[in-house]
Amino acid sequence: MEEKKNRFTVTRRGFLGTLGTGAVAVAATSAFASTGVKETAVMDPKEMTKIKLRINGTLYRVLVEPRWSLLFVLRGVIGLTAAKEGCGRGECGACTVLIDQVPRYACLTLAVEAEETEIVTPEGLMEGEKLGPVQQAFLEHDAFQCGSGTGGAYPAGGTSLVDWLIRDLYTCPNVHTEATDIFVNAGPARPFRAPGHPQGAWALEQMLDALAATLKMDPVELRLKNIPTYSQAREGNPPYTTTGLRECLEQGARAFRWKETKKEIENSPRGGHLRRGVGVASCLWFVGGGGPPSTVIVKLFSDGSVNLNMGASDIGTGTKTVMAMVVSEELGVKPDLIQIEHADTGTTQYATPSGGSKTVPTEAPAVRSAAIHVKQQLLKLAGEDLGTPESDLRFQGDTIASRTDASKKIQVTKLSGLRKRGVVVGVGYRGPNPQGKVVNPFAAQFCEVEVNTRTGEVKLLRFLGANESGRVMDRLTFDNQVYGGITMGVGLAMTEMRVLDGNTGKMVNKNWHDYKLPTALDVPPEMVSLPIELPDPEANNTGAKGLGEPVTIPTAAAIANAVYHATGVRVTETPINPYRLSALFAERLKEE
Amino acid sequence: MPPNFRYVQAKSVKEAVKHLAGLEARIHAGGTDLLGCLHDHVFGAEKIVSISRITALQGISQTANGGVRIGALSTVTEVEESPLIKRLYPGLAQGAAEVASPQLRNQGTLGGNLCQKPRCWYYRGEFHCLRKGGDQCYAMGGENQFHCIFGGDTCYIVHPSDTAPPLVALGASVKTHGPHGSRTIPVETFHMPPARDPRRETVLEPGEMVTEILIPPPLPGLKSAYRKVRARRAWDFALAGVALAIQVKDGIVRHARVVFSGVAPVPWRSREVEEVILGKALDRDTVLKAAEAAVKGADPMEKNGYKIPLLKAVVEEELAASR
Repeated sequence: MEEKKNRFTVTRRGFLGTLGTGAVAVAATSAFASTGVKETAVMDPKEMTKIKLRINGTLYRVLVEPRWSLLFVLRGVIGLTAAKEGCGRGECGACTVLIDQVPRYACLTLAVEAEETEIVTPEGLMEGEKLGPVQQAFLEHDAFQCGSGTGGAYPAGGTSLVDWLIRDLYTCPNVHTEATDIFVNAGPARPFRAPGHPQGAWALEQMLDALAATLKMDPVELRLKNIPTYSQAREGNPPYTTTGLRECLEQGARAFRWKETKKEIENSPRGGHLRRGVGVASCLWFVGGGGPPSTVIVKLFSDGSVNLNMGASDIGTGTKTVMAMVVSEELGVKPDLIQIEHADTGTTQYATPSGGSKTVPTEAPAVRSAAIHVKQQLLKLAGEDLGTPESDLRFQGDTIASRTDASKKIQVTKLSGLRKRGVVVGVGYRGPNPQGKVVNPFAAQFCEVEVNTRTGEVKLLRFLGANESGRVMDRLTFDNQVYGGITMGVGLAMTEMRVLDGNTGKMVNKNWHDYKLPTALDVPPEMVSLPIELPDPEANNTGAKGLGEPVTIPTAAAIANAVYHATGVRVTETPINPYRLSALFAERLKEE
Repeated sequence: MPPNFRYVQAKSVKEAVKHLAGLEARIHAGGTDLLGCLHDHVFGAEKIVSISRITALQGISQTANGGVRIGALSTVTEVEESPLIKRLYPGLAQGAAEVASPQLRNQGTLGGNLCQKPRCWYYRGEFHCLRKGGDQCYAMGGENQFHCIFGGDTCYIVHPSDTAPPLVALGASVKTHGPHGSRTIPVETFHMPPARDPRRETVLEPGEMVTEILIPPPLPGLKSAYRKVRARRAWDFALAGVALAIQVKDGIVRHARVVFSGVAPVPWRSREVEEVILGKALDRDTVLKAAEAAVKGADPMEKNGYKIPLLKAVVEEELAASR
């Protein structure tokens, strides 16, 4: 630590030419060793230079090029990968580290500039496996960081699903839609989460709002009068297994205090230029029931631990958590004894992609079936050990007991058949979906906004998402999907857009400064997730429906409806931001 | 990764100026804008002269005449949080607080904030535009929703700084040091209008660097404020903004400096607004007239016409608030 005194002296020298330029040497030592060199040397780009970095309390000697960022050295040279490279230019924040206790971006810090500072990376905030304060706060406040990609090689989606909600959501005999794809000379686009649906909801749910206004009817009431029981867009109008839309709207409105807030806003004087408003929008998601094929293998080992082998991947949505809980509930095994082996084409079964909000309803039933298959075999083994027929036996936690003779019971791990084999293997197959019926999740969202009617600044005050997705498999991952869906919908509604230069067709906002994702200040400070848990035994053997996409479908429309309620201005084009709104407000002022 | 460069850490201003001579050299203070520009190939650098550890360029202190001297290396956070600045020049503290994100404010310096490169998406993108040595401004007839409505002339950028407008409003100057010695330049004339040179952002000569920012003592009862409207609520540049420095005595405006951000290639002083409010009470009628005067002479392009009602709204709101 004596080196601290030399903070403002430059102590480095050009690297001895014994190593090739590609070679890098890293040495960690426990204390600074002063070089004592005091003259200012110009680092030559053709030579690597030796510098010392104190990271998480350890001193590293590294060879660097002048242009290397601290992030590059942390990740690529030292191997501390908790700080991430998102954008590489200070637009995303994923690379934040502490430099002399101050949070800064490692991507915009040259490694040579960080010499003789104290660097702390996210690894340095951890105590072994225990979560550090940042991770703990992330967990407690449901924060997350999502990656993003550029457009793929082929456009997909198009208009094929844009009008689905309009045709299907509300029972109405006279629906006619026309959708046309227009090809433009631009880079390809990929669908937003819930292909076509947020866009369709943007139109449909604003139309419903306008209809309600014309009818002088509460927009929630109008929606309640048109709850579907069957899918009118499908041939033969097949019924839904469950339609939770009524419950989403009714319970959501109650929890949000919809009527009271709306009345209070409408009865308050409208003097100033800050106006509040509330908005509602609802949706279904045209799939979300999942379906075959899926094949899952569950192995129960004689030590009581479990291996769950499935093809499906976890794209950050909590798939592994949910599947472990299914096994845990069925087999009575603690989740931390379950090891998951998945998404490996060499060792797991074929699985369909994790998309369409179908991973839980597709995989969870197969997982449950595999666990049941294990149990059936265990009962047989217990029958042999206890000398009773299988039909007399039942599971009591980790024990199998006779229904009639209390003295006859045996712990699963003590079963002689299991001990002899070492393992019982269960195989589960995803069964068919109910014939002639449709399994869809439903949702409704409510929000309150404050609009500056001069500048067009919109503040989201609060949001509530009521989701009916059958059984709630895990409340934490469920709620996180809801918050994440609303956040993404805020991006669609208020900040994101793709701008192509009209003359060259090039995208001008292809970075994270100009392509604006919502920040922590853009999402509402109050977000509530209200699960509407309806039993849906017909859907599949877990009663779960998909959730990942319906959580974001109504968000943008709900915001647009709230802005209308606040200002009387209908915004038909996203994003709703000061530059669009200030122009619309000015137009209206002219008309007045 | 950008092409490699020579790198030197200067120990003094004198040494830095010596190293800046010759090769295509760039100054590294906080590095936030420099590394972003190198990364995006906006410009190159044969040599980086780091001034980040020159202690003489740090610190915020009161001067003998009651004003304040801010070392060019003071971070934006230091300016935002300085009790001295919050007390004497709240408008500057507000401007600093509106800059970028907390991490960038911790890293970026006030000198760098004044000297930063524009954020025009053509300039930062893969377009060889006039400012980068090309022969045209792509914003003309292009995607100009975030471009200027005042002062555009062959190049239509907006000046990205949130600290420069309050500094102009407060009558601040920058002190520079270069091969020909030191000079003091009012912040108001520090930035280069495109009409004079579309390839430079400041009047700094080659090898010249900002060493400190000097703010004169505030007039008795001077009110300063900064207001910024943006498309995203954090980490974004101004769509339109206004910095005010106003002295009101007996209900009458005795001194006024009004400077816009987000609407012109340089911090844009509006003498039109100042003329309307000087000698008047800031009543509703005066404020409305001032808002009209704010957009006098504005010359919007195809897609940035919204800046006219937006700027009027911001000026009206801020003047009404400073009554």
